[in-house]
Amino acid sequence: MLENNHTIHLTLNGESRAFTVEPQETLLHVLRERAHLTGAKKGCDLGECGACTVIMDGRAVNSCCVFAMEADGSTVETIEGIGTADQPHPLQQAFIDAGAIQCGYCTPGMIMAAKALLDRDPHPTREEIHAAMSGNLCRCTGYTKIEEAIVAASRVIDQYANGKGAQQ
Amino acid sequence: MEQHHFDIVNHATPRLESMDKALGRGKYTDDLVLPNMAYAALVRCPYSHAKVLSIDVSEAEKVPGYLGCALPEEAPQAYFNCSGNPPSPLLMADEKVLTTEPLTIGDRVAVVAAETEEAARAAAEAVKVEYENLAPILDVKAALADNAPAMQPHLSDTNVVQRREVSQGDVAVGEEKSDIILEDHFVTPPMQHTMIELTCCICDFSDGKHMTIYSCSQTVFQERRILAELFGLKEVDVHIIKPLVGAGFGARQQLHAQHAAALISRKVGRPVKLLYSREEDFYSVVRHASDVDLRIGADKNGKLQLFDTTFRLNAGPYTTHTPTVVAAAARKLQYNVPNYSFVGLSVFTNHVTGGAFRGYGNTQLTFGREILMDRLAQKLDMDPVEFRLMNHVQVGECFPCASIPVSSNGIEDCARRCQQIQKEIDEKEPLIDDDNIRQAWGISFSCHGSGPSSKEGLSGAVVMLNADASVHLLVGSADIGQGSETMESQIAAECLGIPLSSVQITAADTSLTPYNTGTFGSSQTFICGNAVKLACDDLKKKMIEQLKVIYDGCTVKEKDHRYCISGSEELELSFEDAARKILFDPKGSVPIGAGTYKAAACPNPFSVCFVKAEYHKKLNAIRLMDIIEVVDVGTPINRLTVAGQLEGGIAQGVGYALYERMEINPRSRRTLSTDFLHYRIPQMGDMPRTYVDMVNSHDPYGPHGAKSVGELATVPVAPAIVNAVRRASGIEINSLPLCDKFAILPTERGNVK
Amino acid sequence: MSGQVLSSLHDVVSAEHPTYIGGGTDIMPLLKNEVRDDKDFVFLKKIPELHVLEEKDGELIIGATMTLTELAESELLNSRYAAIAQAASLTASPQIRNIATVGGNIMQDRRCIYFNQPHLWRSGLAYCFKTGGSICHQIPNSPVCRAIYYSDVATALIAYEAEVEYIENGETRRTDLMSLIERHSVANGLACGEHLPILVTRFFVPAAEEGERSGFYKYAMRTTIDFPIINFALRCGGKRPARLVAGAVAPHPVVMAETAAKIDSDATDDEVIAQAEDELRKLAMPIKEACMPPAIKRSLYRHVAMLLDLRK
Repeated sequence: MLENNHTIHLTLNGESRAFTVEPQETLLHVLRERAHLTGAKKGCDLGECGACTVIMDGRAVNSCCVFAMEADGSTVETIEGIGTADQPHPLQQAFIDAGAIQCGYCTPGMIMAAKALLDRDPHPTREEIHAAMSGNLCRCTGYTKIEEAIVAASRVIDQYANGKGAQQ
Repeated sequence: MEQHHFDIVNHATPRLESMDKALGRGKYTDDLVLPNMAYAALVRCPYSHAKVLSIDVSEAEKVPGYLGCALPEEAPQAYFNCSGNPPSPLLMADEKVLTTEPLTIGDRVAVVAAETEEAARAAAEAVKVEYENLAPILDVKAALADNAPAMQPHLSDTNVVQRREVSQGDVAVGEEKSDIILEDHFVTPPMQHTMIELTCCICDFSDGKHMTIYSCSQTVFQERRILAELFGLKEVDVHIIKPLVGAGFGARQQLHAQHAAALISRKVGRPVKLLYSREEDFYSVVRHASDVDLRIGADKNGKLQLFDTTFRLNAGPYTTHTPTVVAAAARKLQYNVPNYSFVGLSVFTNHVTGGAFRGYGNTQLTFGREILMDRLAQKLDMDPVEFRLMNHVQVGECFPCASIPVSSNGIEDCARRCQQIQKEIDEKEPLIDDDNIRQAWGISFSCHGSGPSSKEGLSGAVVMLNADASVHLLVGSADIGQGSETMESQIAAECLGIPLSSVQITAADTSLTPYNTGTFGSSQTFICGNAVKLACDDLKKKMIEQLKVIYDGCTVKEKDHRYCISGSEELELSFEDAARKILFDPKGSVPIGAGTYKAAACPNPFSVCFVKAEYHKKLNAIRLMDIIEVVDVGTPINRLTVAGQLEGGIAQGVGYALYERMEINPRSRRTLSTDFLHYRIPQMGDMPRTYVDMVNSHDPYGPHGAKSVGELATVPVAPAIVNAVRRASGIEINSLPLCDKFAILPTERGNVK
Repeated sequence: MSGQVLSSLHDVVSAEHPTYIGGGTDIMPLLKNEVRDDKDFVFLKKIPELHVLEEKDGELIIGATMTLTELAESELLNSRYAAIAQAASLTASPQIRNIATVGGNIMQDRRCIYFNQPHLWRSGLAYCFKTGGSICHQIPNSPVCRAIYYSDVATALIAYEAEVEYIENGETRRTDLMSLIERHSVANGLACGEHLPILVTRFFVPAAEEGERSGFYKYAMRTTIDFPIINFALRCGGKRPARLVAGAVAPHPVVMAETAAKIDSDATDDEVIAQAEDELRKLAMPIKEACMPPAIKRSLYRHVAMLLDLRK
């Protein structure tokens, strides 16, 4: 007999967490409503804007289009888990310094998509940056300063490359 | 030009709240939860024009978690206008909170509440509404037909809700003096703002007496006024708080569904959250589609003699901003034209309602104007830059039919700087012109105002001094992502000679901050910035007065933020010493500076935009290569945010030119643009290489010499793109988006930069 | 409503009408838009047998739960089956490719401006074939749904004459991919209760020949996210005849045999392009698409030119 509710286990920002979810529930819903992590934003709820981007098992995903059940057993990083005010992630600092943040609603998704990129390839070309960031919409910045921020972060991020120093 | 020295303004400063945003801990409305909060959802009409025959809530009542439903007869029956502009005869009232006679897709019919967001949506869908589906009028031409039924008969017998005529000189004289007259019919599409944040409010009106609202908003004080009127409350009993806002661009210069949320909150006796879907946001408001006849005439020397336009905007079914948008367009002609005639029509249709959108009429007028100017320059065999410059209004002169002379003007510097960047690009990558590809540059000029051109901008500011010389700054101005809180804090810090970190700002809370007309009309730097400056001046004046009371009989002079006391005592106090003295002396006082600024001017910022595009002959395809925009915004208060405004404005112009349109689907007689696949906005990889800069400029009326930037940034982009494409392809263009005529090739910027 | 995570193919159970989920990125928006009412979800990602990519016994084998990112990044595919890797790399957005599977991509719903709409929007029109009604809003006198099949990867796999293995009614079967897509396309023109109750397990591609080249071209207005407005995959240069396939022009990919023959001939590129235009005018079954006038869509037939460097 198939059940209506299911328990999933996540390693969420380094902590083991269990959640009881419904079959059709999204990872975004788990993060915002059950884990109370509101950094990932709902911008379209259809996988088209990237504001809900988090990193699942090392890859950027649209959490609004990931079944929570499918995330069972995975490692999930959200914007809340990658830096603090005292020790922001180099991308967070670079976004601030470059003026890459205007309204800020796309920012968590942008930073997580960029982090997934830099975690794999700390020194991407601009073309690779465009490709990796093309799933994230921004209506304020024209993307110029976001691109600059990623380039700037990639210059100081060596200690974060290859998993070293990244908050596991 | 006179050199001005600044310590804080005219610098590139990361904005104050950006760490919170970068860490993901900044709170937007949807991130907030109130105790005992329920969720609301709207029952909306799926047709462009319909009549509600019956509403049956029995199925909704069965949805687990259902709490209640408010029907049209339970809502306030008075007409209102949702615009966040201050009261004006142009804001005709014709909208209801809930309606039984929907006039456009998404019109509100009922509102439900339930325990969860999912349950509220399910309940809203379960409300069975029986409609009579009526024939809609979707474009301006059909609305103006003789037999077209009037959309709002209590306002107008026809679908022209307002006709505005503005003129100077004589069109007949202009025709006679022109050696060449070019004319065309220009059409621009409705464009949606697509802020990435979904529209949201939380409303607690559970006691029916006090209303507290958290909402994305550009105009908290106007919303307070309209809601107080609608629900018979005193303004003091309506408290509107603006959390972080995920952008506005004009879409939040109006009420969205706060009134419906209030209605259902009162009914179920609980605070409710009402969050739009992306589809609902698409139906909420658009930049007006325009339908413009335009003639421009010049003599053989290139002097403009005639500008004659009939300017029709597709208002949708409700007045909201439209006549104000038309009025704004009437006074944005930056060239000297002795014979000028502007006839502006606000036309009702059943399309999605037109409202405020960055550019506010200027975008649509500038589109046709700058294309015709380009064609004229070619016909006259003149350089397109020199042709425009020789006709441009200078300092001390007025725009046609405007009453305030231009107070600063760096347009020529903007054009020269663009040419310099163009030259650098051309040296690196000469224009291609071969069998397959032809590249060309196109240009456009533009202008805007600083604040509403009707001079209705008004703002208060309060600055409260602490003993350690830090200050609290209170302003009613809404930061919607453009960075106004940082800009206002910079102005205060500059005025008081204190570090930026010593300023803490509270903004856009109707119970805590002084009145501000609202964040629209590119007004906050000029209007609120002046109020902040006046508040700081007031604080400094009061500090001197109080020091005179404390040091009785002495003279007190302030120089470079230090206070020289002479007479019976001789000493010099730092700003901080003076603050402590004033607060803690037996003859002390609480140092509070207050300022209000009522717009006495509306300085015009200027922009020049150059675009390089290429045309692929065999594929009938176009590709954007480079966009340069250089502006005169007076003193840029924050160079980082001004550059950001320019880059963002360019991206919106790229989308507008290439593919953005709320598309009407003929079979279903309404828009099909409901998500980001049916309605495309540019992504990072779609942007051409961009170059932005600001010329040295200082406006005598601006705070520290500043003018506006926000709307200006996007206005010249689409016509400059069109001018580049027409020169590259040889095909004349009079409408947008360009994807109607060309295959759009994604930009390939590669690693050149 | 139920959900089940499978960890082995042997565990496939018979739910009432199971919906097999690879990545779920195609189905999730459809569920949110309420154009589907699937109830019993069966998640496949943890079945190891479905997660393979290898050359074996003269065949390339691609497991159904390989993600599009994995295909796009595969050295094997990039070096020997470039069109497949390129098609995967150009599908949707990075976030979607990271989770979307090739099986799900092939079994995606056909799309249409009247179908891929939210509940509110659709409530203003009669139900269409795909939502259980009896009309196609695109072509009202059509007896069947005319929605277009927009997969990029399918175009490339069919250029390689791929076969597919799937489980239907407890039986494992193997057929050529084009036939399955044609069957899927027909069933997919009906409400989701009528869709094929099959679980795609693996794809088989005859091993690439020495000297063979392939490439994939997609036209979309933007860098990513968008479904193709047209796509082409070309395989040529080996001993086998060239094969050219176009997608996003009909309810299934179309094989452009006449143009492929021209590609193998001495014809000039311009002659090949003219042939492609002719052939696509016959094969395409155009419908209304967002912001895409028919004349512009037809002009995109010429974009086959973008692959003709492979002839050299």
